[in-house]
Amino acid sequence: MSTLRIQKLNVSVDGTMILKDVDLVVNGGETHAIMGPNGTGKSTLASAVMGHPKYTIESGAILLDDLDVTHLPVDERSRAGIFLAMQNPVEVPGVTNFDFVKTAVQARMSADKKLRIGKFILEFEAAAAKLKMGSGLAHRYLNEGFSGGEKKRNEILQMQMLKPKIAFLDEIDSGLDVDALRIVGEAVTAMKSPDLGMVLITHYERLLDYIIPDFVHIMIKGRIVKTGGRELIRKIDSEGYDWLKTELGIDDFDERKKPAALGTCATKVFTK
Amino acid sequence: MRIPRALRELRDVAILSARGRVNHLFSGSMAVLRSQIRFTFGTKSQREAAAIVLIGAGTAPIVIRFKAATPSKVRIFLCSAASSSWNFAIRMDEGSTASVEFYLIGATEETAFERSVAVTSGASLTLATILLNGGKTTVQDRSILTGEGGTLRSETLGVLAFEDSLEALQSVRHDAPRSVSDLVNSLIASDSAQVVFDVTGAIAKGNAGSRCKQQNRGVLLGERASIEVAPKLLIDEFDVEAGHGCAIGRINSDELFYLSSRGLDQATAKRLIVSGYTAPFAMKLNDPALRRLFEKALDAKIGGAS
Repeated sequence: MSTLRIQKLNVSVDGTMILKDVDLVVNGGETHAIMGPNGTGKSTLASAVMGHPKYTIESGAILLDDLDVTHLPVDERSRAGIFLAMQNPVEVPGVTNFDFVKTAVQARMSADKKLRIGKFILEFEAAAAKLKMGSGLAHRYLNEGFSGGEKKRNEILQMQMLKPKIAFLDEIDSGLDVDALRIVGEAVTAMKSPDLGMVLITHYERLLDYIIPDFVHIMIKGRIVKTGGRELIRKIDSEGYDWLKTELGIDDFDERKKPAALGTCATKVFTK
Repeated sequence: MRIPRALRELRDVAILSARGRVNHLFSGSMAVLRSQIRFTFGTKSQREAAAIVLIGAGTAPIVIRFKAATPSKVRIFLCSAASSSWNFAIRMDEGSTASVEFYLIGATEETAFERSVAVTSGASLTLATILLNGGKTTVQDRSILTGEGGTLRSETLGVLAFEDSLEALQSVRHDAPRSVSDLVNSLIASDSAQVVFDVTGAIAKGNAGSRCKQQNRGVLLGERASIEVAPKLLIDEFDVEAGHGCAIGRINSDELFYLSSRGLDQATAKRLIVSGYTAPFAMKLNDPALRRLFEKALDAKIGGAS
């Protein structure tokens, strides 16, 4: 079982502080949900942990077990066991999904080991079938021409194949219709094990109907201001984030939900 | 230049070099005349792609005609160690279907490659042009869709490194209604390589229902490398579809981050991104020996992809 420790993390972008003294501990087997209004730093946290060069770590530390990954290159963090399912996965024309995942799996293997290609193909096909991604997926170019939902499912497929220790799922619900949300939710839930700690980043509680979190954190203005259990989801569902203003004495944040900005079929159903 | 073994051992091949010509069960017909060399395909069915291997400084103009009886697939390898000049005319009979791949290989000084294509009614031609040669290359590539419903799809891969240069003029003209053209150009420039690619698609008046598309993309791998593409559309008819696009740049940092986030180091990630340009062409070669020849030529140019 692995543990990710984020300690007093301060992160800036282009000189503007986004994350302020963020502390978070994620153990293998745990599922954490980070919720909060738009623009409060949820995705910044995920990207900073993954090592996106746009984000500058001003102070604090990120530890994966005994390894300090705070200043490691992105690929080394990944090989150490950190995974980020991205909000907007990029398209890489000409590179097939199969070749990409195969190369990524090989990158994790020691030099003296060879990938057993037959076993890999079976595993890839089984993961694709479970996510209902169709048989042609392997030969399609990486995310090119994929629908929003297909891109998100492809992120989960990669997560299944790469078997990370700690995974951040950044708004994995956006772009998914109700059925796709259920398929992704079930696939992620099926991956729960003591070997995997997960952090779900979401604006909306709908995803959390399918993936039950053990801990819910609310992030506002770059800080985790409240941590609790599923009761927080229900409270946000019924009252939004407005109650935090009075309870925590926070003001000057936009607590309004913006369902139009999510742009998912799931939300369209939700808002009827 | 010695004939690469992978080409010598092809089964359905015509090899022309200064030393003479060799045919191995060639499924096309060939006539070497004083002023031109003529090849005809589409009369005999093929088990695999026929190959034409041309070695040396160039030949008399080559006319390749495709008849409608059976679909044809032809690979043409142009191999030269020094300067060379090539001139091709492709003529598609009505209703014929053909796929033609051109491979330019060799560490040449100067290469002049000229090609004219005519696609008649109901004919369908798929072209692939792979420029893996070195030195200074000039390309003049003119296509005309002369018959209703004629279709041309043309993909070009240009891989340049060191001090290589490529100057290309590519044009397609729609002279018939409901004709279709689709041009895709992929360019890789490493080191100090220079590319100037001028692409024009034209639909003449009266050719309603035609579609003319072009996509150009290029990746710069060298600090001093440059790629300049001028995509143009000249449209003189209302009821048509036409579009062009061009994307040239260094390796995208978002792509690099994405691949790195899956554990690929920078060098592997860059190689994979560059393979996105070359792999679709490599996949056309199902013969392992030919695939190796392609990969070896590619590796000699951009082995490090950095």
